[in-house]
Amino acid sequence: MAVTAPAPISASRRPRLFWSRLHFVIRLLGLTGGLLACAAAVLAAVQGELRTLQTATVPQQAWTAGVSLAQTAWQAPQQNLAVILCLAGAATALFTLLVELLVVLAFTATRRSAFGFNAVVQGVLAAVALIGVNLWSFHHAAQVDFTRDRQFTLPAEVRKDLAQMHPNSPTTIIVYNRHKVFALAQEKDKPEDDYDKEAQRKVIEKVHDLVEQFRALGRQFNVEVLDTESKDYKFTERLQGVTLAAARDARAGEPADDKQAQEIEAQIQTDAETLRQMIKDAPENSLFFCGRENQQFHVQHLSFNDFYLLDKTLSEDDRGGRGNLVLLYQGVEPFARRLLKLGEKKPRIAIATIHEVLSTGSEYDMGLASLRKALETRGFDVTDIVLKKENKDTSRLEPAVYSLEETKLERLKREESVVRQQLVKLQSARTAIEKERDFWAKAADDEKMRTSFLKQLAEQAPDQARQHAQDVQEIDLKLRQIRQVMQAVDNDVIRARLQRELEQSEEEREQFVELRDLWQKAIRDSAARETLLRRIIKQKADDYTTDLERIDQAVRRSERQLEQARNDKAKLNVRALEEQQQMSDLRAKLRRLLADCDLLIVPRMTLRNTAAGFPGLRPRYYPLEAEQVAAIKEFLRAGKPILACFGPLNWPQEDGGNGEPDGLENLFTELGIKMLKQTVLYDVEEKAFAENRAGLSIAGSSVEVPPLIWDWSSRDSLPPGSPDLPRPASRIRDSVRLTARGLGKDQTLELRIRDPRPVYFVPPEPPGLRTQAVALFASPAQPSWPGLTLSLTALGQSLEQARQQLHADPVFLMTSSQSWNEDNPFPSDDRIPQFEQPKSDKDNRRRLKPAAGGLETRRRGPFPIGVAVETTVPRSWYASEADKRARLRLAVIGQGGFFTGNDKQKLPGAEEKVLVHTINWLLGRDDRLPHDERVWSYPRVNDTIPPDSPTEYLWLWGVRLGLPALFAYFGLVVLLFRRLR
Amino acid sequence: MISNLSGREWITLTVLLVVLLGAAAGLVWTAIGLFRARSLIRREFSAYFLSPIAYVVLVVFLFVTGDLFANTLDLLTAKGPVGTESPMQTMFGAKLFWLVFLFIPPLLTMRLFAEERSSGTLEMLMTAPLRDWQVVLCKYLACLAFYTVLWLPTLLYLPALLGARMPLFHNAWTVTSLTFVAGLASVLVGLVMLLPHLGTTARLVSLALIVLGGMAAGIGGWLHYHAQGPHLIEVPVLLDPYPVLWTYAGMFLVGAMFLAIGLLISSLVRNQMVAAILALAVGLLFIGSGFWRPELVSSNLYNIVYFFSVPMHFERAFTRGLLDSQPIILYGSVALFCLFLTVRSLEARRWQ
Repeated sequence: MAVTAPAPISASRRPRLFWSRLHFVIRLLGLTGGLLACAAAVLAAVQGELRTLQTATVPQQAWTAGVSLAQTAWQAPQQNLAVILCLAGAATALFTLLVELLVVLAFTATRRSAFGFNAVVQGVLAAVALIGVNLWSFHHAAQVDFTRDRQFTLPAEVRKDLAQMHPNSPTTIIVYNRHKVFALAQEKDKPEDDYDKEAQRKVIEKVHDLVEQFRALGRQFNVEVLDTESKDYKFTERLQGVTLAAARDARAGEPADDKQAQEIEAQIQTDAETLRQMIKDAPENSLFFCGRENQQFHVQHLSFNDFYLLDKTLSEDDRGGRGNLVLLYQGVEPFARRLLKLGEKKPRIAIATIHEVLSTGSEYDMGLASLRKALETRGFDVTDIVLKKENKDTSRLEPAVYSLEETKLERLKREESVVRQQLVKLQSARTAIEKERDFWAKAADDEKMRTSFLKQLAEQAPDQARQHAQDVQEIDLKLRQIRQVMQAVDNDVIRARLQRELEQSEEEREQFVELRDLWQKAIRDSAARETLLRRIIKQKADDYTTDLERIDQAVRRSERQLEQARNDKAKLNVRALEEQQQMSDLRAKLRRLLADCDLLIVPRMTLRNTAAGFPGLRPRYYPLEAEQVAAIKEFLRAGKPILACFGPLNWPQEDGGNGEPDGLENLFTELGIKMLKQTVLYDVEEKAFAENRAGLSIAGSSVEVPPLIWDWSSRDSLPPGSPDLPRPASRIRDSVRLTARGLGKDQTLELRIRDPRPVYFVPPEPPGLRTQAVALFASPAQPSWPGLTLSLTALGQSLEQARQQLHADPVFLMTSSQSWNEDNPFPSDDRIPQFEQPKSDKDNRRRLKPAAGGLETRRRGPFPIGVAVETTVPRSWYASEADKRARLRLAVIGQGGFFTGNDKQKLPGAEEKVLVHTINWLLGRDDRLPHDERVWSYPRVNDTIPPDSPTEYLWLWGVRLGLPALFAYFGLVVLLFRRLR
Repeated sequence: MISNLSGREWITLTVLLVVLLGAAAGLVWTAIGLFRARSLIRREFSAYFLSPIAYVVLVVFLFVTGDLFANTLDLLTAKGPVGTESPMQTMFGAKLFWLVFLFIPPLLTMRLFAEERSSGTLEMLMTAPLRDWQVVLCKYLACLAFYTVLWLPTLLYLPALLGARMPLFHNAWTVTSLTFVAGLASVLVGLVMLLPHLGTTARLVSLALIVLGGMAAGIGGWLHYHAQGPHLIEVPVLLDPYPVLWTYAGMFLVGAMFLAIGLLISSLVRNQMVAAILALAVGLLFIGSGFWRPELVSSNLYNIVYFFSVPMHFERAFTRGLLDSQPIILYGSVALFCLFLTVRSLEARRWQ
């Protein structure tokens, strides 16, 4: 306009030219400023200086972030050069725009351009309307799900719950892709196959879809993706940034003065570290939900498998083996639950062991540190209870009830006392050595002592000279042998080793030769004796000085240990713990510790490997006191669940013999769980015993036992001789099987348990009635109607009870069929445990059910070694008839070393799955167990277009080439037609 | 229910009614205006079929979509764990498709005004007894119609993509099904009547038959197929048909936007090539942003990129059966804005 308008040749030409050139300069500046601003903005974004702007969700937040950014850049321009350049460029561009606006206004002031101005105004208004409508649309986005199954619509209940969430409580959802679909042990060394990769990709896509649905309902959800294999960022740096941002967002808006701000910042760092650790510990692809609830930072964890579970077996078998991707959809509820209940109380699990070494705080591999790690990763709180303590005098285990802290305090006190005693001993040793050193130091100057020593030297010299000469001869011999071997050997490594040995021996020889010469001289020469004495005195003084240095080092080490113990003690609430320790009522104390626990795990690791020299821990260590059992009984009476992992009671006869069931085991028996006094041995172990005996193998422990089986007939899980009752599988077994299906049809979930104990569930019978009935029924000499009626009633009652208690197969762990039950599983000089067929007992056939001994009849496997039941607490456990009998869930595994491992080890994937499914079932969280009610797979059109059929080829090539060819033909026809005209 | 309305609600309803009536009146007025200029629509539309470039566009477009179809069909019959949950997403979420699509609107619109301007026929057109908006809308509708024709052959893919079986016919004669059939018949009669030159009255009748028949078929069909019981015709399909419907609706809308942009640019420049390149550059803003996909983060950057990115709209919404208000409003508003500016641009030529 002003630039392009032809300038009239007049007197005013010079000023117009000036303004025109100034206008050009301003426009050039504006354009350059705009370009500079864009380039600097890109640079600043790359350097991460605009992060606060990028994460702003509302304009006000963006404005505040922008102002703060500008202020920071102004204060430290050197460090924020990109931001400064961006701001300067933007300011220049804005100035130019302002000038342009003034020019346009000046232009429109003339009458000639009024019409044009009208058009410009209309255009501007239309542009404003366009921007306004789209801005409104940007902030009021709405999506309508028109899919057939409403697959992008959240259930009404979830939407209702989400609507109640506070809009100002930001929640961060971290999608953590660690490229591991399943944390199963056998997958460790196996690369992901196509099914795993595709499942991973699809589940991530589904997670993103779901997150978007949640975001559509509440803008307070921030989503961050963490990919361990991302090429866009360094994982560790991003992990640091994301966790810190999540912790900071959770604390956003907390009013604070300077001092509080420091505290909040420290808390943010701690929260971020906790979150970081949780992410690092996650065994497989996971989601983390973090935010603030009740003024506290909370994190909830969800594995991808809790959302979609890969069924590789079904995937491989789909469509007659052509394959597909089949995922088992677990529903949106697990996702929503974690999001809506961030601050939900974590279930508290108590783990009762008999010694600190066996607890979750232990560093040894027989401890349960890996169990704690697995449970905490899965969102459980874990607490330890130690049920025995070591008597200081007898070193025997005595009944006690200690928390892990109490045990720790006890240990620290003992450690302190031991170290103090050690220090005293070291001090006295130091004094003694100092005396000796002084003595030898004095000897060098004392003429009388010197004369006495010289006399002794003269007497000893011949013998010593001879002795050293002999030493020299021996070492010469050795040197000759080494040289001969070196000539014969071709191996460079061995030669190098021999060379080193040769050099060392030559050095030794030189010393011996020197000593020999000295002593030989000392026989005749008094001057030589003098030299020798000086040398001996110096040697003695040096030795004592070295000893003193070592003692000083030991003192310092002990002092450090003492300091460490004191520091550790200072971290404990010593007074409260000492008060707790003084509580002598075991029952009350255990009851108090169990009061806030939701589940009790009692591991009893006895036999670990009968073929090895060290079979495990004696069963005799484990029995509990009646008071302790009473407290656990109260726990059960309240309907709270227990997971017992009881190893076999068998123990070598020469080492005290078998253990006996204690009160706790008897409680389980009352509830119908029978744990036999036997150990299940596998056929391969028989071979291992034989090899061991023949000295072919150092320890049979290396023999791999067969894995547990997951498919068995209902008869296998019942006590031998029981009538077969076909029942559905237990929820735990179903869940494990579903998880195992993720491995594919060629693989099984390999869970190997060595030396387990057979466990059965035999429903308790109605007291008295059955015994009478059987007695009457079994006496045909006196047939009577009352007897028959009683028998039938008893039978009916038994069946009803069986129906109630055995609505599902209680067994969830079963050994392979290549096993047998053994009363004495230990090999000896004259015996190797092996299976022997027992003589048939004809009397058993006439019984309604085998007697108790029947369970222990020796037979071939499979054997149930894990049982989970939901049962009713017996009436006899209650004081009053009026008391309501609680329903409770119990699980018993016949091996105590099932979940052991130190804190550096992770619980193997298979064990972890069994553990988590069992615990969820015990806690009544059935909704968290995998199910296959909703199956998702890729749609296929194979029914209408059979693969590799002529129909498919017709479709493929007809559409790919046929249609374009047809329209090319039409085009050519038209072209020809036009030429014709 | 009406008696329970508050004063404010009454006012809102009244305003809405007035706006709707105004819009309806505007539409009728526009329709009358377009009917009067129907010869221009016909001329513009038939011009596409006489031009080799339209056939080139058709052949290339069908070749590319055909190839994408073949890839999608491969996934629908694949061996192993690969597959596609939304066939339309696989087809129209591909970069290749959008790369080709980017060129189509500029190629269709570049000649609309630029050619007239360079050959000097624009002045002649401007002297015709037509208003500027009629000229603009006629050219636009003709172009949009050709764009729609471009998509028609792709309907052939649908039976394969949906896993459709042979249709089933039922003897289900109800009021709604009869309305549906009558509506379809009316549309057919209306279309047939358009073929011979029967004069203005007959054409008006045929148009009325098409519009009213279409409405009757739509309402009757909707009610008939949302009622329980057997339906007149049922086409059993394995896959969800709604994503297909919304993909085509989305493609129509996005085409309407890009064609309006192309039309505006064509009205501003004299050279066809320049018009095409400028339209391509503007189109690149909407399509190119979809190729750069930031991670799923809750930043404003992602939201802004999503707002403008047409490929992302199709990938995340239309092809999956989701109707998103943001792209629909964006496409509609940009199309209207560009058409408005095109009219102003033509007007500007008059007063210049």
